[in-house]
This record gives sequence, structure tokens and C-alpha cells, in this order.
Amino acid sequence: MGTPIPLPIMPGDLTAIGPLLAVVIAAAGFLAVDMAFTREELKNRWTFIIGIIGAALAAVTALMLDIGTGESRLILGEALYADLYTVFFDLLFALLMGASLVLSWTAVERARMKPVEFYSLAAFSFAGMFLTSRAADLLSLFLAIELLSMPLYVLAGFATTSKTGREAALKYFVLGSVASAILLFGIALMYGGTGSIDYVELGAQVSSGGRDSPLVLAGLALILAGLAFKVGAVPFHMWTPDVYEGSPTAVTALMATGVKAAGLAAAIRFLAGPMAAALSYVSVMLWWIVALSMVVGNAGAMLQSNVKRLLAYSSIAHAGYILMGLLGDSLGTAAAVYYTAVYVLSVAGAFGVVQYFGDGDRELETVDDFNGAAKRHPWISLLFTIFLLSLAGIPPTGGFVAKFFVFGSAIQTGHIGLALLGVLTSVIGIYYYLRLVIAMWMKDEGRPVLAELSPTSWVVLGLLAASVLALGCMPGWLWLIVQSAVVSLV
Amino acid sequence: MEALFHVATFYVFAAFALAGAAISAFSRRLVYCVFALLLTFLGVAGLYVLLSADFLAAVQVLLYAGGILVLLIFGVMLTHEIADVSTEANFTDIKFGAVISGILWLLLVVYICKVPWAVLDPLPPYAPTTRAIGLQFLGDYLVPFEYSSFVLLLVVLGAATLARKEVD
Amino acid sequence: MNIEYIAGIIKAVTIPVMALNSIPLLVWMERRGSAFIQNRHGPNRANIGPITLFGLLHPFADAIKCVFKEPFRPTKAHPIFYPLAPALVVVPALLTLAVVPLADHIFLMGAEIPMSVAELEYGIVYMFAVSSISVLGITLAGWASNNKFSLMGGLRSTAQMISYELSLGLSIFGALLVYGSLNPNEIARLQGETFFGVIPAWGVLMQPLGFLLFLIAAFAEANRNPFDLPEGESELVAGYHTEYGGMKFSMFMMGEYVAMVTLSALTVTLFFGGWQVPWVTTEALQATVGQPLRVLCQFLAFAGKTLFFCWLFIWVRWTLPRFRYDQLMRLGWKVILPLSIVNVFVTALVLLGLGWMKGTL
Repeated sequence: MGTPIPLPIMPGDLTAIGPLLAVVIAAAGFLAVDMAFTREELKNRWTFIIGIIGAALAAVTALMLDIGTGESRLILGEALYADLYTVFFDLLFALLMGASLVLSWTAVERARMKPVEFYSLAAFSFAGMFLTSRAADLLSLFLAIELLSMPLYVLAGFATTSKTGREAALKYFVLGSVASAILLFGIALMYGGTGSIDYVELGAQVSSGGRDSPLVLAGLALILAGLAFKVGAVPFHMWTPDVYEGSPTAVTALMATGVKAAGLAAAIRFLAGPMAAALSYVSVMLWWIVALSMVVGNAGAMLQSNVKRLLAYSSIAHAGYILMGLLGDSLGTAAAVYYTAVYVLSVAGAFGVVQYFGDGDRELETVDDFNGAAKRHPWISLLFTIFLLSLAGIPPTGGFVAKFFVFGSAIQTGHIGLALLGVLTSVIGIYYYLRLVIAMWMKDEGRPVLAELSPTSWVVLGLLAASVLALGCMPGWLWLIVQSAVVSLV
Repeated sequence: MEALFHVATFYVFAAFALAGAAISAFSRRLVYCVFALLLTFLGVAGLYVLLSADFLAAVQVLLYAGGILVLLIFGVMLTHEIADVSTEANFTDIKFGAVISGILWLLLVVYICKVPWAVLDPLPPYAPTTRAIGLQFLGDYLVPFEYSSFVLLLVVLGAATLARKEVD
Repeated sequence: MNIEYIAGIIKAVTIPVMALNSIPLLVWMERRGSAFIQNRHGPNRANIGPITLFGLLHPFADAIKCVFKEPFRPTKAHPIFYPLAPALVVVPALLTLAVVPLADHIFLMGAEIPMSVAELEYGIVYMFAVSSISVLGITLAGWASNNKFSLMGGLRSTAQMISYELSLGLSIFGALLVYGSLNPNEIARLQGETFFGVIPAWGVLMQPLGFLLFLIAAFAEANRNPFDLPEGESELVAGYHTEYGGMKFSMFMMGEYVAMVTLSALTVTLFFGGWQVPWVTTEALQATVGQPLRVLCQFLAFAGKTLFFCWLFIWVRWTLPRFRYDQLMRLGWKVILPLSIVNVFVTALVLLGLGWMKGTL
């Protein structure tokens, strides 16, 4: 036995990964609850309590991080970052976790899943999400992506009895594994080209000429492809509509919000950080991904009558808009982050509302099912409308401001064609989002049934809607925060 | 003489790995596919040994040949009609796949020839690596190490959830 | 040519031959033992004239019989896998022995030569890695025979071996933590110390629970009674080797016995001091009797301990009834595995506490 080796844990490191620890502890708590109680009501109650405490702890510990002068700090043996960017996404994910706990409960039970099982698996997924924004090397990045996707493979599959559900689960699992393999292959090539997986080291190599190595470029392209799959950008989007439609709505909500935001958090950190110097080399690829995502996503959504498929296609389009920000300078990156936040809030709200509509085991499926919703349930229809308007990008919602920032930065950096395409496709977007709004407010024949909303659900939905509106009316404060968060990336 | 031996062993192991992979990709019989993987795993383990990563080779055999492969076989054996020797896998769209993988192969070949490989100093043959690997796990790679254990826990949990019978 | 190469070749030849030659001996022990334990007639027929040598001639007769039997293959058995399977069982079993140290290093013509075919610093991992391949042989045998009893036997043994391989690996984790090494020779050397100057610091004293769990898992891993479900004759005729005869059947037997020897050797190395002669370190012994005698003493100590555990395998086989299959699985997953994990955990905690007390942490 040699001399004991000190672990690479510095004082303050544990606070910096506080949100991670909070979620991990919550996951363990869920498992303990499942074992400790036999009565369902007790299990449910404690699951809820532990989940909310976990989410709150994650938010509080995220805020406790000492940001210092705004520089990125490397912690735990230079494996993770701790900076404003991580705080920003920590808060977003903590909010998402709380929202999922409150809003998805009905949908979870409707899909005949036990809440404690659903949330214990989902907690692992959240742990992965908290890691994506702070990964400081490719190994952590890969593990984070795996950790956040694997629970969803299980969740998409285990409660379904329908054929579409099984198809969705299998498709998601197989294609997700292929995407992970592609990501891993890219990481291997990147390592082969530079001899390092550390972001810092990679960044130094890339900016000092390493980007000319074909291995680095091929690796970068493959990593981009792997991340684009998780984000659901064209041409790696094929799984999205089927999986979104076939999975239980509670799971779809997680995929559309958490997984997408986490994938974007990882992509933005990686591409705008160490790879910034090499980004111009793959900008053609990125350009096509963005353009195709916007066109295919919006055109596809226009043709859908199923609400979940519609939201799936529209989420493809939004992935395109967000990635457009990466083509610009640091303002563009900030715009992408801002757009991500707005998108997550709006979609979390939209899915939150959709989950409550439905009768017994059935959910509302098509756009026509929403006919006359406003007459019977005006308040929730109003909330739904706010979220949809935000997704469509209509002022005074956050969606408009986000699109404005993204297109503005694209024009500033010379991507005028792309910005024009973005505006054009947004108009298509307005068409199909408004179809839902019209169905709710202007048609009377339908009688959609609404499940009972608890007071907490009203509070959470109201908060989401308020924040979406606030981001549209007073974008300044978040825009400043996002800008300084993005500065710490480089 | 020794260098020649080294090169020859490399090609033998590489042939093992490739032959196994080819059989498992192209054979129509499920059991052949699975057992051919044994060749691949052992071939790859051999290549690891040649690269002075013999601890990795042992772990490769332990995990892949002894763990994953056995589970695969177990799965295959439990598929129905396994007693029938000719349980078959189906191919669809083999031409399409061949074109895609052919293009990928060409690309890789071009890249391999084009890349200025950073050749490292040759490692001393069979230098001990176990301790170094252990220290790296608890040092530079502490977070990925802990996280992979977390991933594994999740996988166990997910598998149990999927496989569990509804009691009520 | 280098002395290390020559020594290596000599060791690579002698050690497998020794292991293979122990098989007739063990078969003889098994027969005599079962006769003693169950009060029945032992081997008493094979003879050369009046000489029977306590039945020692029976193994020879067995060997001759098996070698000269017709190499028969059932029509519907698989032409390649059917003969391949026995080899896949026996070869890994023999390969595993490569890292077992028979004595401490010797010094010969200025070179330090380990007394195992290859001294690997991760020897324990190697043993587990290679021995895990033999599961494939058994499964393959079950499938390739094209017989439902064989298939059932093969499946059972796969399930059994993967279940218990986990426990087998986990149960020695505690011991590995205590030693801080994966090198079998290093582990054996560390057990040369004593507690209070009288009790040899063998692994079994530091890891009693680990040893017990390891032993149980080892019995299951070797497919020996009380865990010989794969060939439970009352249910499955003879399990995976139903369709095998002659030398191919003997290879399965050889695989089983070599695995028995290997597991005994591993038990001895991990928990009973390996080649340590109690209370005498290598240096002291060498100073008194010289190198050749020292090696002999250590080898005899090792062989004696190993033979004792081989005998234990036999003893248990003829004493205990066979488990039922669900009992076996329940024991493996719900008793042995959790206990192994607890053992690792407690050991780690104790080591941590000791480290704190000594101030090295």
C-alpha cells in the first residue's frame, strides 16, 4: 500500500454540485419510499413531498453557488464547470422538475404508471440533465446524455399496452442507442485527433491549428450529429413524431422539455466554448441542420391533426431556431440560451395543460377534440393560449422576443437568408398554433372534458404563464443574465 | 524477429475480430451470430494486450465474453423455437445498408490515410497499468467514474421495472 | 537463450500437466471418499493380477476406456459446435491456473522467477475473466446436442453460473480491499504476517464472512453438489452432457475437476495463506534450509491446502442433498449477493476507520 491519494475534492466543490446531489438524494428517496410504504396514498404523498423538496433544494443550492467574478471555475478534478451558465440551467431544470411533479401527476396515473416509479426513474433523468450543462469533458458529456436518455427508454415502454406505444418505445430505444454510438464514435475520433477529452485542452488545441486535423472535424461532425439526435433536429428527427405520439404524455412532456433543453445546454456549452474556433468549419453543416429543421418541422406540423404530433414537429422547428443562434457571435449564443429558456417554459406549460384534458383513461388526441374548450373551461384555455402564442412567437410573449434576438443576431453576422427563412417558417408556425387556438375559442360543438386541477397545479400553470408573459414584456433582466452567463462559456 | 512476431500476432487477432464481426453481421442463424461475438471479443482483447493494455484486455474478457455475451446467449436461448437449429434472423434492405456502409468505409479509409497520426513513444511492453488506472478513476476521472456507477444503478432499476410482473 | 524464457516454457508445460494429472487422483478420491462416507463398496475390481492398489488402477482403466471409445456424434447434433463445446470448457479451466503461485519467487542465475506461469499484477481479475468463458462451453454443449434435456441443463447452468459469478466476485472484494492488491503472489506474501505473533494472518481470519460466501459461490460455480442442478439426473437425465460420450464426456469431467482444483487453489491463495508455511516467512525458511528445500516446503504446503479443499468439495458432495432450482436462485440473489455487498461495505468502513486511527487518511 502506497501513500493515500487525496481525492480531487476541494472545499466548495460539493456546494457547486449541490443541485446534482439534491436530485440524486431525491432519487434515492423515491426508491426508499417505494420500499417503506405499502399503502398507495402514503407512497404518493411522500413521493410528492420528497420530489418537491428535491427540486427546491436543487434550486436553492444552485443559487448558493459563489460565482465570483463571473469566470468559469473547474471543479472536482477539472471534470465539471461551475459558473453562471450552470446556475441558469440548474434553475431551469429545477423548475422543470417541480413542474413535472405537479403537472404530470394526472397523466402518470392515467397511463397506469405508479407515480413513485415514474418519478424515481425520472429523477435519474434529471440528474443527467443537471450534468449536461456542467460537463467539462467529453466523457462526462457522454455519461450525462446516457443518464438522461435511459430512464426515458424505460418510461416510454413499460406502461404501454398499445401497439403505437410499443413501437414508440422500441424506436426510441434503438435509435437512441445508435445516436449514442455515433456520439461516442465522434468522441473517440476527437480524442484520436487531439489526445484529450478535456474541454479546456480541446479548446487550446483547436484554436492553435488543431481544427485542421481531419479527425477533429470528423469527430466534431459526429458529436454534432449525436447531439442533434437528442435535440431532434433535422435530419436526425425521424423518431420524434412517432415517439412523442406513442409515449405516455407525461413522458413526452419530459422529452420535449428536459431532454431537449439538456441536449441544447450540452451543445451550446461544447460548440460555443472549446469548439468556437472550429465552428466555422462545420458551419455549413449547422446551416443545413438549422434550415432543414425549420422547414421540415413547420411544414410537418402544418399537416398534423394529432396534438402530440403537432407539438413534436413544432419542437423540431424550435430546435432549428435555437441552433441558429450558434451560427452567430456571442450575442447569438446568448439568444439561443434565451430561446431555450422561453421554449422550455412554454412547452412545459402547453404539455401541462394538454395532460389535464381528457376523459378517464382517454386523452384528447386531435385538434378537433379541443373544439369548444374555452366555453367550458375558459381559464385553462386562456393559459393554453398564452403558451401557444409564445410558441408561435407572437408578442407580447417571450417567444416573440426570443425569435427577435435569434433572427437579429443571425442578420448581424450575415446569415440574412437564414433569418428570412426563419421569419417565413414562423408564419407557418402561427398558422398551426392558431388552429388550436381557434378550435378552443371559436368553435362550440365539442365538449372536451377536463380532469380536476389541484390548487398547486393552478399555481404552477399560472406561474409558467406569468413568466412567459414577463419574458415577453420585460426581457431586459434575463437577457443581461444570459449574456453574462454566455461570456463565461468561452 | 520480435517485431515480425508482434506484427503477425496483430494480424491474427485482427482477423479474429473481423471474422467474428462478419459472421455475427451476416449469419442468418441467431446462435451463430452470438457465438461469433466471442471471437470478436477475444480478438479485441488480444489487440489490447498488444497495445500494452493487458488489464483492459482482462476486463474486456470478463465483462464482454463472460458477462454480456452470456446474457445475450441467455436471451437467444429463451426465444421460442430455439431448439430448432435453424432459427433465423431476417435481412431487409441489404443493398441500401451495403451502400451506406460502403461509403462510410471509404470515408474512413481516406481519413485514416490522410490523418497525420500523432505517434506516441512506444510503451514499455507489459508495464503494470492496474494501479495507474485505479488512480485515474479516483483522481482525474472521479466524476465520470461515479456517474457511470449511477448509470449502472439506473440500468438495473430500469431492467427490474420492465421485467417485473404486475402483482395486483 | 534467456533463463526467463526457458523457465517460462518449463512452467507452461508442467503446471497444466500437473493439473491434468490431478484429475485421476481426484476421481479416485471421489470414489474412495463416497465409499467411506456412504458406507458402500469402493473401487475394487480393476487389477493387474492380484494388485489392486486400493482402487488406484481404476482411473487408469477409466482413461483407457474413454480414449478408445468410438467418437460418436448424434445425427442431429451440430457438426462444429458439438465437438467444440467440451474444449471450450476444459481449456479455460486450465488457463485459469496460469496465475496461481505455487511458491514464492525463486532466484536462478541472477533472475527472479515467479513460481506461476505468468505473474500478473491483476491475476485475480484474469482468473475471473478466463473462467467466465467456460460458461459458454456448457451453454453451447446444451444447445449443440439438440436434445431438450441438454438444452435445459445448459440454460440452467448459464443462469446459475452468471448468478453466482456475481457473488463469487463480490465476496472476495472485501479480501482484496484488505490486501490492496490483485496479484495472487502478493496476496499470499501478505498473509505471512501474524497476529500477536501466534496466529497466522490468513485471509479467513480477517474475512470470515467473505470466505464463507466465497466457498458457497465456488461450489455453485463449479456445478458441484449441492448445486449440481445442470446435471440433476433425476430431472434432466444428465443435463448438458447427456449426449456426450467417450473422450468428449471425459473432457467435461476434466473441466469440472480442473475447475475444482482452480477454485481450491484460489480459496487457498486468498484465504489460507497460499504457499505460506505457517509462522515461517520465505526469507527465514530459505536461510535455514536453502532455496530448493524452501520451494519444496512451500509447494507442499500449497498442495496440501489445495488438496484439503478438493476433499471438501468431495466431502460435501456425498453428504448434502441437492437444492431445488428455485431455492438455488433465491439463495444466490437474496442471501449471498446482499451479504457480499454488506461485507464489502463493512470492510471498507473498517478500513477507513483504521486508516483514520493511524492517521494515514
